[in-house]
Amino acid sequence: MFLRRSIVVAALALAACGDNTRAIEPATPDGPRPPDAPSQPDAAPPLPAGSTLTFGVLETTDLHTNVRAYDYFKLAEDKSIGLERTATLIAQARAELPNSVLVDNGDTIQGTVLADYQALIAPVGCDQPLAIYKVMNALGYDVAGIGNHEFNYGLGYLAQVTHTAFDVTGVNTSGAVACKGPTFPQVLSNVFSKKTDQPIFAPDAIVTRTVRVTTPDGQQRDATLKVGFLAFTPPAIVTWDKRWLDGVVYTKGVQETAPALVADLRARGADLVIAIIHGGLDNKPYAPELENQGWYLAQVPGIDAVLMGHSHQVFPNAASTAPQFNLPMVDKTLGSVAGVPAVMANFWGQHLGVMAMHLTWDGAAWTHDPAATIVEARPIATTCKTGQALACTTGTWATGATCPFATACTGLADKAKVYVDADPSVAPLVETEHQGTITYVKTPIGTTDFAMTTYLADVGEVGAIQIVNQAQAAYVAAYVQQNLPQYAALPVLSVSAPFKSGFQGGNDYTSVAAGGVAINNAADLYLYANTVYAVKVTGADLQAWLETAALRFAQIDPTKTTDQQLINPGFPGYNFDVVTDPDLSYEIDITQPLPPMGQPASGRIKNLTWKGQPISPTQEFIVATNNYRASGGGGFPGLDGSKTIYAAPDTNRDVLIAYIKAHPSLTRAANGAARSWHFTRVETAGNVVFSSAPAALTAAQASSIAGISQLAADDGSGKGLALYAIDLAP
Amino acid sequence: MKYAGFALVIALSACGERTVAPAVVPDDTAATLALGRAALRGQPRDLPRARAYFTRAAQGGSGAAAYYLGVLADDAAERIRWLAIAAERGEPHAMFLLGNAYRSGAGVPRDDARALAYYAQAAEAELPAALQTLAMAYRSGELGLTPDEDEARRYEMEAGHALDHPPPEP
Repeated sequence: MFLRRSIVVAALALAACGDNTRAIEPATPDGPRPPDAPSQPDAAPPLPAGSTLTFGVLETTDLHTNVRAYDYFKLAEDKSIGLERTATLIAQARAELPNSVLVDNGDTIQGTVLADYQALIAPVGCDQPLAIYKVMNALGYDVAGIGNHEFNYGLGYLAQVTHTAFDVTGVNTSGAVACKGPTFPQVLSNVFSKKTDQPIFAPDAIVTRTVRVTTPDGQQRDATLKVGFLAFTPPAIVTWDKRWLDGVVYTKGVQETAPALVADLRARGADLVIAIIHGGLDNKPYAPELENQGWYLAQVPGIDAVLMGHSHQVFPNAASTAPQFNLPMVDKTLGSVAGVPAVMANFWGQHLGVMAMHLTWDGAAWTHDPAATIVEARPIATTCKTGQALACTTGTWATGATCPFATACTGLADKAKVYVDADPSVAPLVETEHQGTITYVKTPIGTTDFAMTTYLADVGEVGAIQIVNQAQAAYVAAYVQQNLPQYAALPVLSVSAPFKSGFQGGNDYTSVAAGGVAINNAADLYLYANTVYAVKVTGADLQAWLETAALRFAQIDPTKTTDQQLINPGFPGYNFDVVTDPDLSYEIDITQPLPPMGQPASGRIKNLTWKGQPISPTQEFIVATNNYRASGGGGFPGLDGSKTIYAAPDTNRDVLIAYIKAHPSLTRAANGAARSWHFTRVETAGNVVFSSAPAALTAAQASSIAGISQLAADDGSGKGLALYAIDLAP
Repeated sequence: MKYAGFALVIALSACGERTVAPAVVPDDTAATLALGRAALRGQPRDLPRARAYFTRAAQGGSGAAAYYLGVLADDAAERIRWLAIAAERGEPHAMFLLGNAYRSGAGVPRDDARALAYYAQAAEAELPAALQTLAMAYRSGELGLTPDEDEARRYEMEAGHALDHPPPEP
């Protein structure tokens, strides 16, 4: 397909030199637009028809403040992410495509501890850019869109860090324009102030570039190219960030906004129009509030390329089974939607989107041949197979340029991972913020007088679980009392599981030493990214819940004289939900069999009592848990999403941190000794054995867990585990 | 809300108590669904009334209503049938529960590959529990997968991110 643009004739000029000078013309959100200056000075001889230009469009998206390749909870490098590695791909792409623009799609300023640190803990001052913007400024970004997560910290903060004043009700941002921020234009076309009906950011921008053009006789010349941008965020921001945005801004869809903006950009001399959409593809019937409007945006006439994001996918990707990339008019191999080149660069800096567009000057205007455009998403990491890198088995990118992994897999085993190096210029730019975040993560928020571990969680030790249950129960109880009076009389229980229980070896346990407890310890105590959920269940549901958790154990035959493994290897530790409430008590009888496949568990939970009384099947409880369990994770009967009475916005980890801050002196007696369950007593003829960390015996001695003995310092698995026996009738 | 039809339905619940089910059935699928949810989450909950609303909303094309009919079904085959309808209508929670069913063999023949496909479908819709399930499966080598720490990490990141904008509760 050959798209011909009818635009205002723009003569081309010779620039003074061959470098890529850059000028930007962000539109103002309101007020008259500046008159269009002619693209080219009169003195320049006309560019001959048939001159050609390869123009690169580079995209990052959903960076979420992952500047460094670093995991702030683990306090360790994570080479699979980070703009410092994407920067290496950016430099390579610019060397290959010297005529190019670099664009960020949005979801830039939120998503790591670094982001929270700069927004909430040690708020960044007006006098300096956010860490991520420092890096983006240094990398020379040309333009950026605004994602949904930009709104997470509120409009005051967003105004400051983007040095953009919003004329909106309820927050005075007039001082923001004086603040430091991105040195490139930020564009958002579909969010409007309720007060003024004007867009809160510039709704479009034109980036003017001096580009190197090849004339029909093979000569190189400089010319000017004007690239127009518009950008869209998911309309659902007004729901997702209701507390900041409700009644303050409103959104429109692409069909309501894009056509007029495209026409205006063309009228102002844009040679190309590139649409940034912080969204993916969806062909549901069009509605202005549709979350992913990329499919409709690509069909708006006059758009030359679409840069997508938000849904954290790689596009193009011939192997993708994602429904959004298997829609009509979507070419997931070549990377186009409705014939318009389109790219999506994954998230956290894992990929760089690259488009090489082929433009031809027809004597009056630049024409763009979408069919000749090459689109790809280049990864910062790939896997080796038979000595080749899967990301580029031919040794080159789709454009023909040398792939940095071309020889990286030589001599490496299959499944080895290889990474591009970090750009060494990035880390120093944010060293202060990076170290500040690490210090924050290591700062004690409380103390503990006992070692909190999951070494013996399978046999009833609750030193690393009770604190989680206490935090969850207190949080839910407070919410119910304040907001759900109809449930206020129901008891609030909590369950949690030992998420780290030795599957990967002796180091795969939660282990917080006695002494200070810091944020990173809280991440060890609560491993997963979950949010707190409360479900309302009956006594029968609760019994079934605990019965399912008791599948953690194999069936023990008391008459067997040989060693028997305690743990059922088919049931992971992260599903072994445990209650630690002094008012609840139950036994687990592991002499009872496991259920037949597909049948619910039953017969192992004995003497389930609440405040000393047997629990009736119809008695009601609220149980604090997490989104995974409440949605059906682990396949617990009756837990299927339908029993949720509260889906909290806060993560279990943050709730735990807040609880520890409020109760900063943790003790064994108050926070690590409330066993709600015991094994049903039974004499066994042989050993009942299990593996755990070598330090588990010490943990047993420090807790009230009786009957544990070490059989061997090495269980023979080669994973750094020791072998223990438990006496079921201590 | 538009009320097009009026129906008085008297239902007997399983325990014999007399329940007055929807006196007015709104002819608006979303509103009917909301009434079903309210009946289900009421204190005490009113299952017959909830079912009546969900049936009506499911007839109106609601995937969420089909999901509720699935989770409220007394019989495994009926549960799977409604969940499959809900999944076809794009309800991620139903996809996830179908993944669970195929994983454990509850009401269907156990089939890890189909379980994985349903989990992947729900993960594609950014259901955090599905992304977490895939993370755990890659970490521990479940569902026939080869343990892969990088994939586990990737899905874990995704699960964390999706928490900020999960698909709506059905």
